[in-house]
Amino acid sequence: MSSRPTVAQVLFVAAPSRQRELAPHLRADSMSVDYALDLVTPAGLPETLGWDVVVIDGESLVDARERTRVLRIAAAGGFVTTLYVCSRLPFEDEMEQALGCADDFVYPGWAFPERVARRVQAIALAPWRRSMALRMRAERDGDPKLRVLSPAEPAAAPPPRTPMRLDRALPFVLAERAWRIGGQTPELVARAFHEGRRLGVAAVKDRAEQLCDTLSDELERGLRALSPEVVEELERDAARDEAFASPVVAARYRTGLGVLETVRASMASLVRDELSAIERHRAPAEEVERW
Amino acid sequence: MVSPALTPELAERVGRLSDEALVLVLDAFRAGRRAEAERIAAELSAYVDDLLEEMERTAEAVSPSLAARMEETYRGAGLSPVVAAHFGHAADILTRVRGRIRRLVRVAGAKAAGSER
Repeated sequence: MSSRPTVAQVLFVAAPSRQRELAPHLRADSMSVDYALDLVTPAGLPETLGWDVVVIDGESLVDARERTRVLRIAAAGGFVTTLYVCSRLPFEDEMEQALGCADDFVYPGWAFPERVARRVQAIALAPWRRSMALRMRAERDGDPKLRVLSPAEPAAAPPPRTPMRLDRALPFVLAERAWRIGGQTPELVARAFHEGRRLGVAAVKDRAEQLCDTLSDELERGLRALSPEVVEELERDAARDEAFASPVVAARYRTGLGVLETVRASMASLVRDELSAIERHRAPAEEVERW
Repeated sequence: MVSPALTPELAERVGRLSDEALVLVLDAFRAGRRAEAERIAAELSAYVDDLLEEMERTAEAVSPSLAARMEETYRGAGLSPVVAAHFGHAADILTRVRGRIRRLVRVAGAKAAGSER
């Protein structure tokens, strides 16, 4: 089994003898990714197809009735791409059915297994190649977010506040580049990504705690240096707020609002600093010592 | 020296890589650091939003009897109730923010350990 990442699912519908003949050729050649290949006989073809590409071997179909049944199941598959491999001597009715029901077909003849393999590879890996081309272009152009929706689409809903699972995954472009280099690189890249995550958490945590310490110190200093004038001012401001049931509730609300706004602004600032340090390839001295 | 922020074990292994692979490993390190810093920041920001919403809901729903009970509670601190509410609530919010930061870091550590296995 290939150790390369699988990016598509292919089903080969053929009699066992034809499976033995053609299946060994059905693998992605000279690529850093592969497709998964499943084999099934025409009689065993399930009614519902969960594959990206279905390759039907015409030589394995015993008569026109079986061909019709298999092609109809494949055509009903919605987004399944159907490739029909013609029999050794295709008659007119077989070609008509192939043209009508399949997305593409392969004639018999010179370098037959290789042509079938290349066609299957081209079809199965096309979505992955397109996606890689878009990502590479986005990376080259410095586009931080790849936009695949057309401008005619309605405005997208705001992103969910809870980060998605993919936020913790190694970016696909980096993984792909690592696979291309090969050797130990994919494993080292994955480890470096995890180490980066740990440092990212540690840095933000330390600075955020430092911020909370500073605010707590300020509060304590304020409490220690509480003068009658400050008390009077606090009470006067709270009493003036008629929106609340009592001056105590008003004081709680106003204080909470102030503290949270301060926390939010300071957090935004410290994260900006952290991201800017990352862009400059520089870690603050105390983090460097720790790591 | 490759990067002072990598662990010594990884730094030693990375030191033997080709230039192309080395650049990639350092890119991955930066990507991980950036991803987690942004994620923690987003979670904290969402938590601050939640606290603000909660505070607004609570403040609007305070009945005269609840307000009287609050005044009684803050009067016990030996200060004017308004001043006690001011400092007490600020300290309470900071404690909650600090607790959330620690929880986020604990969860991030557990998830990182899980995804490496």
